[in-house]
Amino acid sequence: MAGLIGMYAAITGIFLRESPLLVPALACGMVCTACGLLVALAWPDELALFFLAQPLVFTSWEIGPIVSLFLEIGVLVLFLAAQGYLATPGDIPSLGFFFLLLGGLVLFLMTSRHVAIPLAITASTAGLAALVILGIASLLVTRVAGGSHGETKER
Amino acid sequence: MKATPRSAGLFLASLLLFLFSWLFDSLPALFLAGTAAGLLLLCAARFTLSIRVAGATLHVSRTAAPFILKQGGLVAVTSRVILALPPGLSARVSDIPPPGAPVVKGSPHSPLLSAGTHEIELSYAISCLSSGQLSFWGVDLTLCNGLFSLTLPFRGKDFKGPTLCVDPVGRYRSSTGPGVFGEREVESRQVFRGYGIRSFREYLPGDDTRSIDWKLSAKHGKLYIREYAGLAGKSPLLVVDLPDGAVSCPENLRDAVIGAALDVSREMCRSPRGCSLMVISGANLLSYLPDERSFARVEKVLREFHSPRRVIQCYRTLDPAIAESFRQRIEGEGEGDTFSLGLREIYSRFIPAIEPLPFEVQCARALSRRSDVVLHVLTTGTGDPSHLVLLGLQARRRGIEAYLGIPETAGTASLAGRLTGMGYSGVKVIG
Repeated sequence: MAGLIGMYAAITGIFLRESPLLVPALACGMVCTACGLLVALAWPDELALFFLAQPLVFTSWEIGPIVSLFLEIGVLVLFLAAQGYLATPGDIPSLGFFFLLLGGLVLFLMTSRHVAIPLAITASTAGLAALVILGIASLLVTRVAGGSHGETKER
Repeated sequence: MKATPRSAGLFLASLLLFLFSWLFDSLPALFLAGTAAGLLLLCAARFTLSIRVAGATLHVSRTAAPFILKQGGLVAVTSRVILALPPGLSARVSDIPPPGAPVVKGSPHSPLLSAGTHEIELSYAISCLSSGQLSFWGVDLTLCNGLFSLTLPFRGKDFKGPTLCVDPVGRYRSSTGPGVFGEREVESRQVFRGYGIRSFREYLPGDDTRSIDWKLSAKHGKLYIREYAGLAGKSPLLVVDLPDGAVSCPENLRDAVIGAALDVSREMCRSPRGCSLMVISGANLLSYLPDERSFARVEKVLREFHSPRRVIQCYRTLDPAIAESFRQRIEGEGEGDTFSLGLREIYSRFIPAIEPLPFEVQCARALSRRSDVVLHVLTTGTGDPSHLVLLGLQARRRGIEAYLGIPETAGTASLAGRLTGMGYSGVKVIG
């Protein structure tokens, strides 16, 4: 993941060479790469490296939102693989669906001039999804507390 | 579902990015916020699916020995747990002992298990401080990944067995002899058919040939017979008086009586005469087991009537003989007094109309079954003692010795004094 951060710093440096954002992007890339190396060597933590890659994804938005999307997908794939979320082939469809949603979000943001409407839609969708997941978990806890597997319905 | 510091950090980052994008109208910040929130939800959804899979594979088989024991006894528990964990998930299994039974040895918790199939054994010991039927509480399965943790409380019947039968502690003993009710070994010319051998002597004509000791006879070339020793004493009839279940009674009193009854009846069932048990609650005969040899049956009866409901309630019930003595005392004391005259009149009309209670008839039948009976009544000493008085009088009329056992904590010295005069030869304390 630290190598990926360095690569992202180089990509943003190359593509933003004629932009006024070159100096801040290079500074950000250097800092993030240094921190990434430090974390990877001293205290390897995938979530910390995921956070360190985010400023580079942020600056790559200036190159193009699609570039940002692909860079973010790269970070996510590495992070989820490190967490053991790509251990079985059954995980790929759910991950594909998640990346499709991200693509849809990028397309929606590209067509928007202000954040108000996309922000409202994204936040409310995330809130609803969180409620559904918590509801399913709560139902699961209630079922096992009330009886053994599959007995709750019979009772 | 509980969040770990990592998931809390991800949530906080997402929230800050949402705020940043709103304050600075930044689309890339909103994209990053959406990504962080989506990642958190994806991990949560994946975790929920994983715990469903892991929970469905949990199987627990538990053994406990001994499962019938006395209050305060130790039980060795072995739980065999089979669990398959999907990748990315770790778990800890905790066996939950019955309430009132703390763990005194070993640990009911498993080490942290990583992904894969596991078959583990949890061995620990519990001390049963509560009495009655104790079931295990179940099993807790705590699952976690890097971002979330959740405890699944398995409380179904498949996870509660086996049930422990814990007898309350109580002791009712006589100090006069080694037997349960003070029977002692005696030497007399009477022929005993016991288990102990007192001595050997040469065979005399008329001796029972079944008593010949063939081994000794073969050794010495003469016939020798065994002289037996046996327990001499009267046949005890144990009466257990349980308090009314509808009226509050301290649990320690009830447990002390039942514990003492179980303790005594266990030994009585082993004796050649068996255990004669009468379970009453006030003036209600609940069960009568004459000469019972199965302790399981005795135990079942005592557990079944642990908290009985009294159909017949007695309050200062008078026996005709006692009422007659009261009437005669009034006649002798208050001559010419209108109150005494009125009271005497009431007694005179009242006494012929007194009919014996069904309880008295039942007691009379139980006591007249054998001639050599000694009565032992275990009671909590709570509530009205009329039924104890009636029982004591029935015993006295038949010349039967009667003893009363009251828990030490009941502290009813006056009751003991009153009942001693009502046919009971002595009052013993249940420890």
